[in-house]
Parts: sequence; C-alpha cells; structure tokens
Amino acid sequence: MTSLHEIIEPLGLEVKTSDTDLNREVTGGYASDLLSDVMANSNAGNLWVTLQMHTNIVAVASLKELSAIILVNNRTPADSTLVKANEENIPILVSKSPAFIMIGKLYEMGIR
Amino acid sequence: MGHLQEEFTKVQELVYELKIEEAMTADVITVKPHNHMNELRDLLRDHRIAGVPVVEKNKLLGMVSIEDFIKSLADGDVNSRIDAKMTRSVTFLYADEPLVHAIQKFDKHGFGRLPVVNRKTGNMVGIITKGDIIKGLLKQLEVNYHEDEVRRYRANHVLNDIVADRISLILQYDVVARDFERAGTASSELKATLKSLGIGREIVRRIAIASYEAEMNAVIYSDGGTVTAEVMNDQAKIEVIDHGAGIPDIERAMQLGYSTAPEWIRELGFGAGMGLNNIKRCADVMDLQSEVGKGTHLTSIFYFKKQRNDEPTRNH
Amino acid sequence: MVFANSACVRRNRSEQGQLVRQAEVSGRTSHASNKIELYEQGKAGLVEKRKTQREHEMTLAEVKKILDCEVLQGDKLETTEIITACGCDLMSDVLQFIRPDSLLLTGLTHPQAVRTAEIADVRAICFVRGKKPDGKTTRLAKDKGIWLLATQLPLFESCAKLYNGGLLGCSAS
Repeated sequence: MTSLHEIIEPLGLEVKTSDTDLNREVTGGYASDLLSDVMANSNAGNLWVTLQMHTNIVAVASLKELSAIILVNNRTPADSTLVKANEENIPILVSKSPAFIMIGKLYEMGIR
Repeated sequence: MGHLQEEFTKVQELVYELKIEEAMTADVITVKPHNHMNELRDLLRDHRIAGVPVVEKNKLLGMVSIEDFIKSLADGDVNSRIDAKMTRSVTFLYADEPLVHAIQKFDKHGFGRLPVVNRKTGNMVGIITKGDIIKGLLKQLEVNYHEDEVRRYRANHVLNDIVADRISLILQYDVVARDFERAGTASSELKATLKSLGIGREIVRRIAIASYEAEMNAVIYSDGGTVTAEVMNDQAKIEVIDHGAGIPDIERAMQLGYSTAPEWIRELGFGAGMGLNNIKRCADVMDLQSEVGKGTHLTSIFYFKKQRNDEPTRNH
Repeated sequence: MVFANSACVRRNRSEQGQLVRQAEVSGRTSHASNKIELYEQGKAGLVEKRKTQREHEMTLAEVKKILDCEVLQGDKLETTEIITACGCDLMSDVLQFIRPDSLLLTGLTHPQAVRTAEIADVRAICFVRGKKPDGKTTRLAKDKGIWLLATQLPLFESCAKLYNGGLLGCSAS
C-alpha cells in the first residue's frame, strides 16, 4: 500500500490545498473526466486523475471517499474549489503531465 | 527532383502498407511429393523457373530447385521421388504480412522466391518473387498517382485557373440548434473542402478545430446559425454567427473553465469551459461580439503564411 | 497516402535527396550501377526508418493485444501505427492536446467522439470500461476512416498498460 505523501515528490506534484491530510493510503487509481462515471465506478481510497476543473469534483471525491485528486495538464483549480477541498479534507495535486503519462507513472509506482 | 523524392517516400510507405497477398502470384506451379525428379526437368524448362514448391493437400512440404535436379543427375538417381531430394526446412511468408517482410527475407537469405501461406488455414496460397514486389509497387503507385491527379485537378484547378489579383471564395454551412447528433457536420464538410483546395494539413486542422468548437457552442447555446468561411489568397476568415440568447459577459465567458453548460452536455464531454480559449489558441486573430437576446458573432482569421507556398502546384 | 510520421518522412526525404544528388553527380556511370546503388541505399533507408520509429510508435495490433480489445471498425491493424496516446473525456481538451495520428482512449461513445477525432486527425479511438458505441458512431467512423476498438479495462489501467508497453503520451511540448 502506498501512502499519498510518498508519490508527491517523485512525480513532481504541486500540492494546491493547504490544510489536507497527505498521509492517507492510496488504494488504487481511477481516471475519468466525467463526474457521473467517477460517482458510479470509483472506489474508496482511489486517487482520481482528471483534468475536470468543475467545482463539483470536491463533492464527488468527498462522497466517494477518494484519497486525492490529481489535476493534469497543469489545470489550476479555482480558489472556491480549493476552499471547499480544504473543508472536505480532499487534497488537490497538480501535474504538468497529461493524464496518459501521469497514469503510466503512478502504475509504475505500484498504484493499480 | 522533388517528384522523385516524393516517389521514394511513397515506395517506403507502400512496402509497409501493402500485404504480401496483394503482390504475390496466386496461380502457382507446384509438384507433388510422389512425383519423380525427372518430371521436374520438363516442368522447370517449360515454365522457365528455377524452383517449385512441393505441395500435398494444399500443405507446403518443401521446395525443390534446379540445383536439386542437377545434384540427382550427378548422383544418377533422377528416378527417385521428389520428397527424397527436396529441401524440407523452408522459409515462407504469411499472406497478411507487410511486403517489407518479403524484402527483408530476400535480403537475408538470398532466395529468389518464397512460398506464401495463409496464417489461419496453413494452406499454401501463392508465391512471391522480387519481380512480383516491383510489379505490385508499380501498380499501387500508378493507382495512387492517378487518384492524386484526379483530386488535384478537381480542386487545385479551381484556384489555379482563376486569374485575379485577389480571390475570395465563400463557403457557407448551416448549423441546426440542439441537434447534437448532426453537430459538427458543418466543420467536417468545411475541413474536407479546405483540404481538397490544397491548403496545408496543419492549418486546415487548426481551422477545423476552431470551427468545430464554435459550431458546438452554436448547437448547444443558440437557436441556430451559420458557419461561413471566406478563403482568400493568403488567409481564411471563419465566421460563426448564431441567433439566440447571446453571451452576457464575454470576459467571463473567456475564462478557463467557466461554463454555463447544463449537466447533460457536460456528461457528453462538452461544456467544460475550454472551447473559446481553444479557438483563440488556434486562430491568428479572434473577435467575439455578442448581444443578449440577439445572438453571437465569432470571427477568426488564419494566415496561410508559409504553408500556402508549400502547397503542391502542378508543374508542367 | 497516409504518412505515419511526418517528421520521419521529412528526414527520409532529405536522405533520399542526398542520394539522388549522388546519382546525378555520377551521371557517367551506367544505368545499371546507378540502379543498384539506389536500391541498396533505399533499403538502408527503410531499415533506418524502422529503427528510429520503433521506440515511439505502436501498431493497433499491439494495442489490441495489450488491452485485449474487440475491433469495432477498421482493418490492417498490423500495419496501422499510432504515434502517441491521449486518455481524455473532455472533447475540447482532446482537440487542444492530442497530436495527429494518435490514439484516443475515452469512455465517451456518442458520434461526437468520432467527430472530434475526425476534426483533430486522430487515427483511432479505444472505448474503455466495456462501453460500446451504437451504429451511428460506428458508421461515422467507417465513413471517416477512423479505427474503433473497445476494451473492458477502465481508463486508468488502459493508459497504464500502453504507457508501460512503450507508447508515448501527448505532452504539451
């Protein structure tokens, strides 16, 4: 089992949230840009890889108890989204990589 | 010289594209394993060939060549069965392999011909020689060349034959509101038309992306409109004009991720608030005008610059 | 004629350009020897091209094998190559980031996925998570010459397996 803080540095992720728990366990990965898909198919503890910036991403992650959100392609979340993410304790991490490469690297690190 | 280079590149692409079965000879002269070596002589002489596959019930058993015959002649046993003298470990090709595999095998082993086998049935289906490869390539080049010529004549011809200091060709397409299934046909048709006019691939792609984004906006948010492209000597101007609600705050609409799209549109992968920025990124000039209650008018300009000079011309 | 990789084609052109010039300079040699020279160098060019492209490209036959795909539209998978892949469900982002002649991995199966592919010169789409398109989507793809594959794997695993199989992503650079 991989802990969230272990992947941040090797993958060059930028932590956007200021007040969230980075020690939680990551059970696996889920990639999708459609909220309904994530609602239906992701599992608790999943790391969610997306470029969807809609403010509802935090609500979905919280409801499905996902471990964190990685925004790819250098997507910057709106301040209102970050406030919500801090409240709900959902870490938002940002990467310059596209989803395909980010997922490939996560998989290499053992996140399946 | 440019032409020759182009043909070389085409041949290189073709040896990957064409399959063995498209170049091979399907009508193959074969012998059976129980035939005798002395029967081979007439067969080889009559057909002016240097070797034949040994086949029984469509299965390839080996190859027997003129050298094998000479050898049995020297050994004095021309009456022995062919299967006693043939080469059993035969290099062959599958019919669905690309032509380049044949070239590589000819090169590696120095064979003059290779039998071709169907991958699924294991049956022998033909034979391929170096001559077949050249014939196959020439035939395909001719077909491609002919298609190219026809296409160039139909399209480039139009622009080339116009004698004017300035050309302005107007293409207009209708956009039907909320018809999500047909959405994109205007941009698709525009793209195909620009391509056949001989405009470079990269710039056609940029125009098509911008036009498609604008068309989707018109389909989703308006009561319908038009996509108009004006193709000039050195640029194309794309205008997407729609009637309907209009945009109350253009500055806000241009913000990354800002969108008023309903949930069902988002679930289809659209309305994520990236479209207008995408248009701006693709176009050399972009102008967005909108009046609430009336509609939206989006203009984007694409300069052909160098691409226009690279366009294939018919040099006679 | 579809060129698998324009950069490679361009490089080969300049190699061949050199070759043609050589042939012109040695114009006094017999036709036969020229032909042999051209043939030999032409072959070398082919092998070279294959080597340089292998690291970046993947045939659709390999994609099919890695993701255990069903083929919904298109043939000649062994000789159809993609240069990069992009996993995405937002069409504007596909239009923005994907490179021409690439593979799009998505969960969207409506005709606009094909339309987007057509507009952005995407060569093939692989639908993930067992999603299958309806007839309209498949017909449009056939009409536009876009390959369609379908895998049971989710997007995450599909991207991961292709990435680890050596396929590149569409980075912004």
